[in-house]
Amino acid sequence: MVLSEMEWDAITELLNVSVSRAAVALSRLVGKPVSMSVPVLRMLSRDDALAALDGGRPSPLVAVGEQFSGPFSGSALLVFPETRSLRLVHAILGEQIPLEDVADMAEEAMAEVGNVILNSCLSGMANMLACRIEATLPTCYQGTADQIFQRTIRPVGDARILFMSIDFSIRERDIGGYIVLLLDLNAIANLRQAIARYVAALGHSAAE
Amino acid sequence: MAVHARILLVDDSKLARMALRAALGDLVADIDMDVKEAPDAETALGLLEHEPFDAVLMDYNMPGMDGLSAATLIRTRFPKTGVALVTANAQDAIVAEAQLIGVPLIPKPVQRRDLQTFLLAS
Repeated sequence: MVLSEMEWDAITELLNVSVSRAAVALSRLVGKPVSMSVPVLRMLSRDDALAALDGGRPSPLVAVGEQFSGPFSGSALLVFPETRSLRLVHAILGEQIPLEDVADMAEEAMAEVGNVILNSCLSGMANMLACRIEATLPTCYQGTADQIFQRTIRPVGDARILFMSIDFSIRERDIGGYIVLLLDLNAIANLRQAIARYVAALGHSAAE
Repeated sequence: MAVHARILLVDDSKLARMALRAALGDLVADIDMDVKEAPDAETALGLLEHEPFDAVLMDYNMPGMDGLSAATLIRTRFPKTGVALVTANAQDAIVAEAQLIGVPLIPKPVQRRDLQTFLLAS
């Protein structure tokens, strides 16, 4: 499946706008500025996405996952290295939280952040493409990339993964993570149609 | 704003520039507009060195120089040019910093009325 330059541009812009909104919500959550890089988007096979997540060396990760359905359906995951998820907890709750409570709070903080970011991505795409996407409640997972994928993203022959790397920092703490959207071929075809309609509407509007 | 308006759109996304053009086209059909585009802040600053613009619509989150830094330079170097940040990243801290240098924020996706307010003020 090869996406055109315009389709890549459109998907990147849709997700960029959505993640920017998530940054606003996160900033309100922590009461501090959240700085964010421009997201880098790739389309990968399941194996390549696994390799990108663990860099060839399985390490502990924390992920928040949601299933979504609509004109294009699939799975969405927000993934952080475990060490960064602890930074996230500190960034959200402040330094005063006792170390022994951090691990307990990590799952709750991750679920909240995952909810904000994943829902912002999904609802942002839905709004701009004028469609409706329903998502399940977020679930938190811990383990290596392979263990997390086994529980969330089953091997499907024709599925491709939209893999987005995003760096953001809160209170000067660098918290790089990944957003993983699994879409099957049918879902990608529907996403392309939705983008084509959106682009055509822009052209029509500009020509008037 | 002048009847003949020179507007510069700065965004790394072609789609976003198309959306801005479409919104401008809807908005000011009776105004003679000369709209140019730049894919990053550095290119935009280069264009501004060589030709005057009445208004710049600048994305915030771009590779290279971010839109707020570029807007700050434009306010200093080209004080007659109106500049607005076009972004979904309307964090309080960013809004406050933009207000400090007199740069309004236009939320993405762009609404015609927000563009109109900005252009009428430019």
